[in-house]
Amino acid sequence: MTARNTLLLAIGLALAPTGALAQSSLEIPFEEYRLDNGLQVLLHQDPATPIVHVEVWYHVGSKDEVQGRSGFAHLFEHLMFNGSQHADGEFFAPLQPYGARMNGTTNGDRTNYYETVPTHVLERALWMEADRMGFLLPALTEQKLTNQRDVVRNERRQNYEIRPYAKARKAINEAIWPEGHPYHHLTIGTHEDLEAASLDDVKNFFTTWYVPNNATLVVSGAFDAEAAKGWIQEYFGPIPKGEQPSPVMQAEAPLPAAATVELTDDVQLPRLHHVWRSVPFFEPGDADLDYLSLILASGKNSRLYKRLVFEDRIAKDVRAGQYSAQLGSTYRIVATAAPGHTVEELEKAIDEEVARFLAEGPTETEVERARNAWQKSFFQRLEGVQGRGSMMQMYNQYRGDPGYAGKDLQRYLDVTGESVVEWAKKTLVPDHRVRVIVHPKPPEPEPDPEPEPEPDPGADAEKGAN
Amino acid sequence: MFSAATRRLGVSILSIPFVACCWGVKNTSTSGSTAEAPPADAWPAMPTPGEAAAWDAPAASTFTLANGIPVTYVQAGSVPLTYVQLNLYRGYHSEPADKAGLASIAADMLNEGAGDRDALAIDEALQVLASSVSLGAGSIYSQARIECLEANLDATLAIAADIVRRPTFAQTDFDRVRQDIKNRILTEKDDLRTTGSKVYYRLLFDGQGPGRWQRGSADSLDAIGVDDLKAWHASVWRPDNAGIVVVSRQDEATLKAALDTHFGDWAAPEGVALPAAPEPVEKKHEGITVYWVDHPGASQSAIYVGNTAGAFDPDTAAARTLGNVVLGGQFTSRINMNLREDKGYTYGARTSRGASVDGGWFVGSSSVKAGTTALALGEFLGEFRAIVGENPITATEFANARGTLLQGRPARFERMGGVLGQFASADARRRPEGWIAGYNARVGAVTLEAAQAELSAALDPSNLAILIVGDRSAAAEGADGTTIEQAVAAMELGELVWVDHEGAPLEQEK
Repeated sequence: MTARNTLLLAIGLALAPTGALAQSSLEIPFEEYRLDNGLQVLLHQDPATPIVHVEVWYHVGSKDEVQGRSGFAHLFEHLMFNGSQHADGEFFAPLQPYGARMNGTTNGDRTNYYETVPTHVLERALWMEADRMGFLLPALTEQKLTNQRDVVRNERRQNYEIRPYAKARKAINEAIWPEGHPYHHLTIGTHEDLEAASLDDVKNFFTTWYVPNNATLVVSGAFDAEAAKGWIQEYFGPIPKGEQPSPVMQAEAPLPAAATVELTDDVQLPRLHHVWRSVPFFEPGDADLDYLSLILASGKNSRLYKRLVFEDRIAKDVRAGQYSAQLGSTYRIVATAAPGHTVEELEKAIDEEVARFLAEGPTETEVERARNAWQKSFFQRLEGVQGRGSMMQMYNQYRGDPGYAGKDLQRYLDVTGESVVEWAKKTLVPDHRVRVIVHPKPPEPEPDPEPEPEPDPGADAEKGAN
Repeated sequence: MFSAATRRLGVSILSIPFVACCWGVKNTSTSGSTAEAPPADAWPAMPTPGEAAAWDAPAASTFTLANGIPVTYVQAGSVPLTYVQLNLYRGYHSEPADKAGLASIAADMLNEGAGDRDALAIDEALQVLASSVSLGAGSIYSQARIECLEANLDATLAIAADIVRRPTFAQTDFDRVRQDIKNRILTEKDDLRTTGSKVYYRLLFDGQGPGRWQRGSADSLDAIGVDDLKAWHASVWRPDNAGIVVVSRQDEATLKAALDTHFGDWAAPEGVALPAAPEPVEKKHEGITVYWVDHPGASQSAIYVGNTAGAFDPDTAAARTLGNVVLGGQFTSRINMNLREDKGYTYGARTSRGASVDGGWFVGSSSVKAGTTALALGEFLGEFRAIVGENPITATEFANARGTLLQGRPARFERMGGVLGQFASADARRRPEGWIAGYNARVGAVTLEAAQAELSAALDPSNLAILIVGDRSAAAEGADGTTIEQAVAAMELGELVWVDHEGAPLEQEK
């Protein structure tokens, strides 16, 4: 197919104007070094637009939280935006007047902070990041903690409670990862644990994890490298090195036995989740499972969409995805019933289509479509300096190699129809499948003239079993 | 596929605002406390940025296809993709009143069968080329957005021309697509904020203009037939109602030849009238009314406070935007600093200003912890009163808001999709020539007084439509033993009107 070669050429032209790229390789040019305090620095220059993306990854996520403090890594992230010693106010305030776009995110594996600023604001952005890396605690107050705890609890309500079907996220994590596993709890945490978080917890967390030797700084975009290095040394250099923390890098856990979890939500239509454990991010099989998702549920010709939505009309929507993460991933097939149809119908059709796929394998066109879709989204992510900076951080976190882009592309180019089937067979194993079913809340009963008999408690007994 | 997007499963500092937002400001102060190491007095002061680098938005040129379709061409990009957007200058505002959803479903139906291909064959042909054609209809325009590899431009435009010019509109496909849309509409009531936006703007504009529902309702969709699709397509999707925007590295001659081949011989239908152009909807909510959609069990309430404002006016649009940045357009705006960063009532609170040719609005909104509904409403009202009363926009706030808009501009043009979005949006709204290039001059010319005047005209705290989507029986914070319904009633703002999840009034309940 011409599409593949043209796309490869495309990114070569875009990212390495000096040439010297083979067609099957891709390189984001960058410079890497460490400060004496252990801070890892990555510089990638692209002069096309006068903007610079600054991004810091701290190698700590919700997997590293202690018992009873679920949600803490993320709550801490919020506090990083409420002022540090020499800039004791909103982190956004000195940058938004310059059109900066910024945010921070926390997931199971890591916490990141970033701002894309016009080039002339780079020095201030570096100073701001350094100040909160070095001097957060002197500006910390009980009032800030109380306020951000309220904000985060509202974030939880908004995104994990009242959002339709969002309650399934907690049920999935708890069913698929055993008690005590770092992914058993959600990154957002529980209200109880968030309430329990104290100023001492914040101080301990900062001292343990937010040391320069547990962080990576990326500067990506249009800037003068010598000036940037000077500022980085001046502002980050004096921050003392800390004791080297040990993020959780492995956590063995037996695969879950087949199980079913049922819950109700304030929704109109039932939804079925099939969830399996799967290979960790970037490990063999991870790319193949991404192709599987595209073949199963992306576009009208994808197998599950075509069968469940387009032809049989039993589903409102269907999705499939590999949720990649450091300690292990999950593979999910999720379908919402169309009005008048049932979870049982969805399940029967999904099982038949998956079985057919495993028996027959994909057509050549299916693999080609998946390859095209993957590459286009990959290159579009790499088009901007933010995308490139973030991906270098991601490669660094998960592969220890910020220059992994070419290898990342290659692992997708290496996927074949056979390898997709092989990994699908290894992953979609019936004995280890967790089913999470969300039922609509039953309608409010009309007031009855005669009392109903008490419900039979035995009727619920099979819930929670398979 | 959701694998790529969910790679970063996680939670972030910012809420996704109800409305598109930009950026703004507050001052910082320096604390006098001492660091552990190095000593605080040794620490360099926060650097002050110098002058922004000179930067101009990419330049556009224009040419015309053989049949007169005007093309705006922007040569830009770092990857060999070509982006094309075809705009048709009518949207759902111009639908027949009793066929809400027609413009949108007509656009959706174009790639469900066209030329010699059925729905599956169209999808297949595009995927094999790594191309996409996405279709839609807004209030005042409809559009087809095309993305392809440079090398596949001709093959992609051939399919796109079938989609745009030769749709099949088969009854079976229509039945399927209509049911899909009805399913989506059915589930909209699951979500407080989706419900809130639909109901609020419907009430504010009495169901007209910006208050129409893009996708219609189950009933209005049932009133639409295949003949309506064909009639709408013939009257709106036509070359004498179209404009094209192209963003590509490819040269003009190549692009013009390809576009002429596939769209240059497209003839306007004879004797088919173009639907009337949208007119401003003149509505103003008088007095204060509190509308309420009861949503039992909700741990938050979605609240909306605002009123209509003047329709788009090129002379005041930038002033309205600047005022919005100060009051509630971005993270550091007054509203979010108060409701989120001071009170902790919410994950995010914003205001939205609209300035469409068919109507404008100024509306604050937030999802707040259920128990704080009345308190949050009070803070919105307080901020509204303050900015048009005793605490108007300050010089610092104004300068910061302007910096946000002007200095944030280059980033919006970094990627090809962003360049297309800027130019295609200006074309779809039929902005005058040079609109994009003139942005800095327009924003730069706004005075603080003009921004304040625009806000004061739009925000009258004694005339407001308020909507709450939430559990009326939730316990109110700060008012022991009362419900949020009682706490809101105790504010004595105005009449309380109960409405259903589609905004229809319910029998008064006590």
